[in-house]
Amino acid sequence: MADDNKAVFQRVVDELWSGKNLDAADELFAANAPNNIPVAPDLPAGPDGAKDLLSIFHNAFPDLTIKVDRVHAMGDRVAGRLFQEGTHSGSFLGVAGSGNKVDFTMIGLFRLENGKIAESWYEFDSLRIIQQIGAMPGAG
Amino acid sequence: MPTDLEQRNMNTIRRWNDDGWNGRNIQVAWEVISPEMQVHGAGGQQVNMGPEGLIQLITTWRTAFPDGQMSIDDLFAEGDTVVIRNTWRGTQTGDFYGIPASGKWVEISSIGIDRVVDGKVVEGWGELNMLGAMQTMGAMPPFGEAVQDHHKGRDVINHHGHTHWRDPHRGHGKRTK
Repeated sequence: MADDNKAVFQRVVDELWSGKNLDAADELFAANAPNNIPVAPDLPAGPDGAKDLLSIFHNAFPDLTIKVDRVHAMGDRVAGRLFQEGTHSGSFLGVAGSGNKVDFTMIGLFRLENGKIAESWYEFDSLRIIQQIGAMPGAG
Repeated sequence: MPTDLEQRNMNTIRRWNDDGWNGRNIQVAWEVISPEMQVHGAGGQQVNMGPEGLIQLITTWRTAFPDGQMSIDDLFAEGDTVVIRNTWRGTQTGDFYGIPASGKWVEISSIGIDRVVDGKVVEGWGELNMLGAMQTMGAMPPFGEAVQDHHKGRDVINHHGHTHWRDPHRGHGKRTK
């Protein structure tokens, strides 16, 4: 099961994050799966919320590239760490596109039920991005 | 089912959380942290290698949030690797990386990945909501006020396709000092 769950994690990376095929979320996420990410506390549940989450990053960083650093799974849980980089071309956290390059790390953790993601959590270095796009208070 | 090794490794991380982060016995670092322990990520915090570095880190947090408690929201292991999802909750009554005491109650979510060898943590990768914490403590403005629409409903992506952000601790209100 752990290997199947790692395959689901890899599909989320390949098809959603990298491939921008947001319709794949319909297959990967359970209808009522909460989507937890601190910068967007009010995402709807299920595939729609997952698509919104991806759109936030894809709109802000259209050339985003993602590398998987490590993936670990046990039982119904899988987690992985990602390296991401791209160009801040669209609004992110209310900060208009700056043209600045960003690179940041992210950890995603999924709970699976019947092969689908039943809840997801993401944490990432949003503070680093704010610094890289020149939006720190007091910074140039 | 976790193997005996995985169970032991989870116990090590649980002990570090409960005795270390929660302040029962911070000196547990000498038992569960390898001298070569390195921390990656951690929201930009510079953490020195080994038990001294980790004791310093926790002292920073426990000085800023003396009533702070780290809950374990998820914990699992695969071989020598342990994944932990946490929430730190506490009142900021002391200086935190130059942010003066705000008296604010903060909740900071995080996910960590730790590698444990012979009962000691040798390497850790962590991400935490440092940005949200800084906003709650008043050290950063809430982002996206300019593009927020104040209508109900979908409030992540506005009608112009812009993303915007709302601090759950502040709600929709104006920035407060």
